[in-house]
Amino acid sequence: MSDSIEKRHSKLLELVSEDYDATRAFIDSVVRTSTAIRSVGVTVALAFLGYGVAHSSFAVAVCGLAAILLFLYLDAYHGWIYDQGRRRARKIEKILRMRYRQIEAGEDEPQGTADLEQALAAHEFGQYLALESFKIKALKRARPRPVYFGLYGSLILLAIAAAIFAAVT
Amino acid sequence: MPLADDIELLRRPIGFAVGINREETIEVAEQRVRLPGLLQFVRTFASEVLEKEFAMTIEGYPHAAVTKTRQLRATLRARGATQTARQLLSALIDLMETEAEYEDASPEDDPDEQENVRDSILVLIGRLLERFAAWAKETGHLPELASEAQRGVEQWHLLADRLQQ
Repeated sequence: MSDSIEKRHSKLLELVSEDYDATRAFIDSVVRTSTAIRSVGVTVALAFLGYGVAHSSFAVAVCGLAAILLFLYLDAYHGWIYDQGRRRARKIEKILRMRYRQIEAGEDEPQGTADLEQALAAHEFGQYLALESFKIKALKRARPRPVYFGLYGSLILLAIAAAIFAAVT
Repeated sequence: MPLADDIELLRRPIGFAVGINREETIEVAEQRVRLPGLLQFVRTFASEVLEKEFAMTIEGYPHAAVTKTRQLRATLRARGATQTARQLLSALIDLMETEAEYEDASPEDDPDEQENVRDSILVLIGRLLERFAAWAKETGHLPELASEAQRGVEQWHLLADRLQQ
């Protein structure tokens, strides 16, 4: 590999590393926001459901269900943003992995430099420029799924049970 | 026991390429979707070659296998083994990593990632055939496989041109 290519790759990889740092910071902030939304959502929903059950109020229990759905939407929106960051981080890690492979394998991988060149050429710089515009159907890409199914699934079941209990009593 | 000089080992990717190349017109998207099926061939191929030629049994494919194969390549490098052998291992390592990525990315998760995996498979299987042809020729005891792999390389280049249009 010529020195000029190596220098160019090194400079580009510095920028890619900066991009990676920006993506990591972006993911951290989205995760913090999601956690806050979840904490507030659970507190509000349980307050509604608790009040609904204690006072046999069907209306309050239904408000609890509505609150859960609202917080689910807010959480899923952030989950979708998180997914974009996660996918971007994976793409950047692939480039960094190619650099690692190029250095580690050396002449054992004659395509190492060419593969890295292609990956660097295809990279779209800028975490915020790469964000997609929001569409409702994009919410199905929200992550992490086990949290939505486990947490909000349980809350919804609880809200339905509370509403039935309030209606019956 | 060394690898048997039996062209059956390469039947799957070469048959795949020949079958598509015979067709005058093909549905590119439909054929590309079939590419990940070839990762199963890589698994069998890697296990045969590594066990019989490099005395290494692989378990826990692809994650554990990729680690062991990297270590094997480093060992061969330290022992001053031929570059063709190490380059063959590099192609296998890349394919194992691709399989690991493929396992992590389901179509509904990320269609872009799926497309990238298909592109990688197309490039890497061609590369594997090329390096296997060079290595098999060098060993001296696999002439049939070497010439079959060379035929595979030609067929695979034709296939890659068609599927990347």
